Amino acid sequence: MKRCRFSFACPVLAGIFLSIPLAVIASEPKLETKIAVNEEVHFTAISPDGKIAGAMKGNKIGIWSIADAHQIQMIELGAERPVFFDFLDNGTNLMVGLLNGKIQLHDAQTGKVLRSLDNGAPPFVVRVSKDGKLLAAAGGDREVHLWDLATGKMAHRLALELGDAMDLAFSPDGRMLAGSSEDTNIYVWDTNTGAVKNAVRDLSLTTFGLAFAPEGKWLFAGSGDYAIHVIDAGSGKVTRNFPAQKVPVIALAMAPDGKSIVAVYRDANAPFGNTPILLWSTESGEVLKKNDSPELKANGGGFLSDGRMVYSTMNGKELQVWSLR
Amino acid sequence: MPRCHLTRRELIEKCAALGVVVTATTLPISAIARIWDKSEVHHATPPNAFGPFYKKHSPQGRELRMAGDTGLPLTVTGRVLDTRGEVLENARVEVWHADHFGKYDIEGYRFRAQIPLEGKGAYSFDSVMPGHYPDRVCQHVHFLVSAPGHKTLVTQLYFATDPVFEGDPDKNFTRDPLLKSRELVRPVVLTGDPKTMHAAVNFELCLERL
Repeated sequence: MKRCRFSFACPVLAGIFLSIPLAVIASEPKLETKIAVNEEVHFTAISPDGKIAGAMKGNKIGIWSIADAHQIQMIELGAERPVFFDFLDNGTNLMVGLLNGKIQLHDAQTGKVLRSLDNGAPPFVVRVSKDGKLLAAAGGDREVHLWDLATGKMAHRLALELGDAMDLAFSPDGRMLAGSSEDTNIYVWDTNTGAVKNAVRDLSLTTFGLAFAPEGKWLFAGSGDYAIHVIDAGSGKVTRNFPAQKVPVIALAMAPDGKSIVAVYRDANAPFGNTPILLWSTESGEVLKKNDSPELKANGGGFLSDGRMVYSTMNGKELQVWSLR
Repeated sequence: MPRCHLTRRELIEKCAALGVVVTATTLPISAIARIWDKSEVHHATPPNAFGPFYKKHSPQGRELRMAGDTGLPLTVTGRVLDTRGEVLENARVEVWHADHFGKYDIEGYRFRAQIPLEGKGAYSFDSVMPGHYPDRVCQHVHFLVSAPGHKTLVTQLYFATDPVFEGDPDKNFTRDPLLKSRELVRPVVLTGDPKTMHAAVNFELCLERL
C-alpha cells in the first residue's frame, strides 16, 4: 500500500482512484491523448468536464488539455511538496494539499492561489462535500479536520483513536463524514456537531477506500482484507460483504446512479504492481465486469459530467488518458 | 488498601495544600515541585507512524520465528516504563513487521503478536530481522503499547545495522522520511559465527501519563 507521504502508495491512491472509471471494463477504451510529462508520475487527476488532466511532478503540478495535449499550466509550488490534489468546480479550480500542512485552491488556468487554509498537518486525503460547503482533510496523528469553507475556519477536529486517516467520504447530503483509520476502525461523524455517530470496529484490516451510495444510507468500505463491506451508516453495522479477492481493495467509486461500484485492487506487497478493477452490482453483490490485465496500472480517473468515463496510465514517461462511452 | 504512588511533585503539592510546607521564595509550589521532580523524569519514547498494515486480533506469544524461516534471527527485549521510571506491569505490547523479504502477512498472523510481559515490565520476543518493504526506506518493527492511565504509544523500532545507514545512523537516519528521531534507531548486538549469527536489540518503551 502506498501513501503519498512515503511516496508509499495510497492516500494518494485513495485520492487518485476515488473516481476510477467504470467503463474501463465495459468496453474497449479509446485513447484520448498522449501527454509527454518527461517522468513517471504516480498521481493524476482529470477534471469533471474531461477537458484537462493534471499530474504531480515533484514540487510542481502540470495541467494539460486532453484534446490536444497542450500544456496549460505548470504550477510551481516552491519548496513545498504536494501530497494531494484534485480538480474542483468542474475543473475551474485545483485543490492542492502540501506537505507543510497548507491546503491551497488554485485557478487551474492561471495557477494563481485563490485561497489557502492552514491544516496544520499534511493533508494526505482531502474531500469536499457535494454542496461545496465543507472540506475534510486528514489532520495528522489521530485527527481529521473539518473546515467550513464559507468562513474559512476549522469547524471541528475529529478524533481518531490511533493512526492517521486513510480515506474520507462525505454523505451526499453532507450531513455525515466517514473516515477510515490506520487502526482499522471506520468512524462516521455528524458534520454539524462533530460528534461520532458510529464507529465500525468489526474490521481487522485497514480500509483504503470509502464511498457512500447516493441515498446516503449505505457506506461501502474497500478493505485490506480483500473484500468490500457494506455498512449501514445509521447504525455502523456491517450488513453485507462482497466476496474477497486475491489482493486488497485500494479504492472505491460509486456510480452516479448507485447501481454499481468500482473497486480497484492491488497487492499490498507490490506497491508498484498492477491494479485489477472490478465492477460490482451494489444490489446483488455480483461482479459485473472485470479487468485484471497484468499491464493495467491506472493512476487516476473519474466519471465525467457528460457520462464518459476516463482514466490515465503511464507509458514510460508519457501520460495516456483513455475514455469509454 | 491500595498502595499510593505519589511523585515528589505530587507529595510536595499535597504537603503545601495541607500547610506542611512553607516556601521562602516567590515561586509557586507547582513550579518548585516541577523543578524537584525533574531528576526522575524519563524521556517518553518518540511516537512514529502507525502504518497501514496493522491487523487486529494478533495471537499472544513471544515466538514469532518458526523453524525454517529465512532471515537473521532476532531477539528484541526491553521494559515498559512510564516517564517517572515506574514499570508498567499491566501494559499491553503488540508488534508487527515484514518478513525477511519485506512482505507483510495480510492473510494470516506471521510476524504479528501480542507480547506477554514477563514481570517488572519486561518483554521479549524472538523473530527475524525484517526485510525492506518495497516502498519504505528502512527495516522496521511496529509497536503498539498501551497501559491504563497512560497515553497509547505507536512507534517503530529501527536497526543501526540497516544498510541504508551505511554504518552511520547519526548522519543518515533521515534517509527514511518517516524516521524523525535518531532515538528509535537501536544498536544491534551480533553474536555467533556467520552460520549461527543472531541479532539482539534492546528497546525501552516509555509511556507518558494521561
